[in-house]
Amino acid sequence: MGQYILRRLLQAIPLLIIITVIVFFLLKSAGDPLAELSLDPRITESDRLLKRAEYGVDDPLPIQFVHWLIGDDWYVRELELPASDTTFVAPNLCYGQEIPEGERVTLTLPNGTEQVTLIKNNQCYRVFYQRNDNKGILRGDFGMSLARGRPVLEVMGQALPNTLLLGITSYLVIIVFAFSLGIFQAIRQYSFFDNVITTISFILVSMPIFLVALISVYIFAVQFRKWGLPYLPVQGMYSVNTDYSVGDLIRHMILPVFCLAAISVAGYSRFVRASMLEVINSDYIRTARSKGLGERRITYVHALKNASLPLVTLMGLDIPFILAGAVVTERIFSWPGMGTLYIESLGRLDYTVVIAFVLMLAIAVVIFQLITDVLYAVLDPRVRYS
Amino acid sequence: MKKLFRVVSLSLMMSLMLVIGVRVVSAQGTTIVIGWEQEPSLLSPVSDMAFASYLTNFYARDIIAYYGNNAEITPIMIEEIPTVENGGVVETETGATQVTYKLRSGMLWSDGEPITTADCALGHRLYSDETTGAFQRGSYLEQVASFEVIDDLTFVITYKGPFPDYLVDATPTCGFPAHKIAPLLDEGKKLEEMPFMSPAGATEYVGYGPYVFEEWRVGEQISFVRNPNWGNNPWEQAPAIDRVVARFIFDAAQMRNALEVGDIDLAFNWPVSDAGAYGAIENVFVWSTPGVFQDALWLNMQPTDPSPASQALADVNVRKAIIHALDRQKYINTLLDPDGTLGIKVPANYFHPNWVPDDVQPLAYDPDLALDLFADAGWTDTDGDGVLDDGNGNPFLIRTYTTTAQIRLDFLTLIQADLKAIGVNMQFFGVPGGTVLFADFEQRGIIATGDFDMTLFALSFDPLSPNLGDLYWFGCDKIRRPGGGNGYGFCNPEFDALAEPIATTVDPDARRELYYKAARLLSEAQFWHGLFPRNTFYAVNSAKFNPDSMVEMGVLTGNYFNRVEYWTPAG
Repeated sequence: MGQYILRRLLQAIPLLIIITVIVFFLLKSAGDPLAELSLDPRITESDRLLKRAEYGVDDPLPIQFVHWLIGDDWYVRELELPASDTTFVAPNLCYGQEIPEGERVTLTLPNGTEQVTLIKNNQCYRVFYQRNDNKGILRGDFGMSLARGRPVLEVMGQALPNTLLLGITSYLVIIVFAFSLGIFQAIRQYSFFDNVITTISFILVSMPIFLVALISVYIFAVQFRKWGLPYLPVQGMYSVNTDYSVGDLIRHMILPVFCLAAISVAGYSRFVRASMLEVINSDYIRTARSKGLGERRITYVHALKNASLPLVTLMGLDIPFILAGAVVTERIFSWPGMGTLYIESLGRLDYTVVIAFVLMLAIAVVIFQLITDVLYAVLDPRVRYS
Repeated sequence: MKKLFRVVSLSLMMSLMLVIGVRVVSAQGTTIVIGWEQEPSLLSPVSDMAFASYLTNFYARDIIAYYGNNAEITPIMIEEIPTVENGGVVETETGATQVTYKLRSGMLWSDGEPITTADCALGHRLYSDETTGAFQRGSYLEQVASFEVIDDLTFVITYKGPFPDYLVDATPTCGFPAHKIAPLLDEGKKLEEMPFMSPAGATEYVGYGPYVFEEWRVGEQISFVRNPNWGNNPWEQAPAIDRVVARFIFDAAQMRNALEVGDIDLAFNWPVSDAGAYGAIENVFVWSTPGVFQDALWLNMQPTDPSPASQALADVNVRKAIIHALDRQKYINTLLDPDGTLGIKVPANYFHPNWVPDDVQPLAYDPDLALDLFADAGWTDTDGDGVLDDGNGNPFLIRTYTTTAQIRLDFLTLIQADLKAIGVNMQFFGVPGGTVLFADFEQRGIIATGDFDMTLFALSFDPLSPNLGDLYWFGCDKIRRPGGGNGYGFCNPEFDALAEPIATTVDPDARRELYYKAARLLSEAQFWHGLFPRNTFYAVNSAKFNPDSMVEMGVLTGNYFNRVEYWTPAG
């Protein structure tokens, strides 16, 4: 088993590299994240060039990828700033140091950045630019968020707990209701309630989540308010004036959790129902009955364990996406989680955040796939990896 | 079965109890909650690029502000606006503009420290040192020759030459507290690296404004409470609203729902197509203020298409004829303002109305005159097929391009019908803006190469001074060449010759006349015809707040909330 896990982990490395390369180049081809700088008349040409140099957005794409991997604190970019923007500096002086005409001198600026500078035509030109703080992801530095000016890990670290709270809660609701309804339908096949639940399931599975969200907001918030009933909040984690109580949090979670769970419960319960129907009609269940085992023990111990095998695969695929956040749901309900962060970063071409996000998701998928395979061996003794 | 019912009933009951039972703490006094569509990244007013930097008006005022829909300039930190008349602006021996600013006495930062010219000197340092991270400095480096502190309340700034835009561009800043910023700059920190610029340290931010930070809940809201050190001087209006909350709502439909259920009190910057839905909400007052974009029809004065109809556009009377055939106010009333309550009018000129003389007006809807002008140019319906032709079997057919924005396509549908009514055929195409319509010359962009008869798009103008960028779009040297955006072929040496005197004439009246002349030359060319102004829309809960105290929100993209201290609760 140990060798199997190790082999799978090693196999994941090229996969992650391929995913990263594709996402990086696709995102970089989508546009210029600092394009808006050129639209703001308050930003001078030299400030714009320096900002672009700081983030290396004008480097060739392969070079940018290398920098993202191993950092660019060793890399010097050549810049020539417009003379009109540099004439404020006194002749032959660059940051208080006198420099002979035409000679390149390395200056350490007050913020610790080293810059090679040159005096030309009595004006101070910074012709080279080198930053000293970008180490690259292989050295544990995911870089700075372009849109937020803060480290990517800090930005993601603020959003992830909120997403986990919403995602895990939703998943618990999904599991409880999907198994309850699926088992209930299987042991009462073709009953009135089986047909009703089946119909509702099909309706919910057919609906996009944004529609479920908007309808639920319309009913439980807008219309409930009009009818004079207690209504649910439609956005955020807490009320505007809040004591940060658990009750307030739960109240804000009801609609997003309902939307996330409704469609999944509908789908999962169909799986549980089908699996349970297959298992409860099998020979070993009949044998168990003939041996006099109680119906509850047969259903919840013997049948459910085997019926849950297909669901383990399904859940193994789904669980990593808890980390990604429910992009649509989080955005609609203004939930400050990973989904909201992702969409906002994508819109602002904040590629450092988006790539880190995709990488995290890819790693989660690999790990949870592995856990799923291991669980298979636990649940089904016939499966062996050695 | 019974168990299932029990479980479901229990869940519903618990949900209901939570809905009813949760106690929400009420903050003392009046709170206004504003729906905000984007979260700011940092608090530095000069290093944040985001839309959300409009929040600055709550907590960080500067020496001047532009109030109201006509952008009236108002002194905030200074005693009066320096002008030639009051002696605040003089010409040096070399002809350069020199401006003297006198700070008001008695101003305090939000932490109680006095505001002095030391803070303005820090502003000069921020703008003139490229390592500070204050990259929204405008042309400060290019224009400013020197900065001199006279005493605790007086400083003088001297420009390198005549500089009439001293209140609009390269204006000094006193909005940063030296006692907080300077020590950190000395340590080598940039503005964006200072702890109080980020969400975690926001409550430590020190500014000069009616409010101070109360809390920044990342991804959810920023709240402000009254600044205890604002309101002690006659010019500091103490806010009537105790607390302001900017609540982040990223989905447009949810913004409306949030206003309807009372989660927020004010929604702004929503699309005009939502005006009806907002207006239908009970106790909600809807209004708009002018924006800095005007959607317009741009006719090609130097057509590239060899067809006779396209070539006819080189004739100013044909261009006028096309516009006379269009009932533009009807389009506005049909698509944007059915009740007429928003008061949206056809724009008269590319420049902001502040810089356009009264005699420049939009061409009137007059289809008969349009037909006469076409006939004078040799275009009549000779074969009786309902389409104008040149007598040689060439019908009048023009191509119009716009972006894929639905509102523009809707306008063109109405335009097509009006043109058809007088015998002009128009095909129109909605194409991707960034990659096709607005792509640069090297990438064969439609506008840059002039490969169109008519286009519909918007450029932004500067309401404070058209000198700052607006004149750029119309130069003869910008026609269809790399780096040039003038694909419509307007070229008038007389217009180009106005650029230099406009940039250097300090006398406001003489300068205004120059602007009027430029506006008239643009108008006479008949290649730009406004369709609708891109207003900024607002909706407020009028049961809680007095809309009359809010309607003057401003015209600039960044000054929406600089009169927040004058807002009042309803009743």
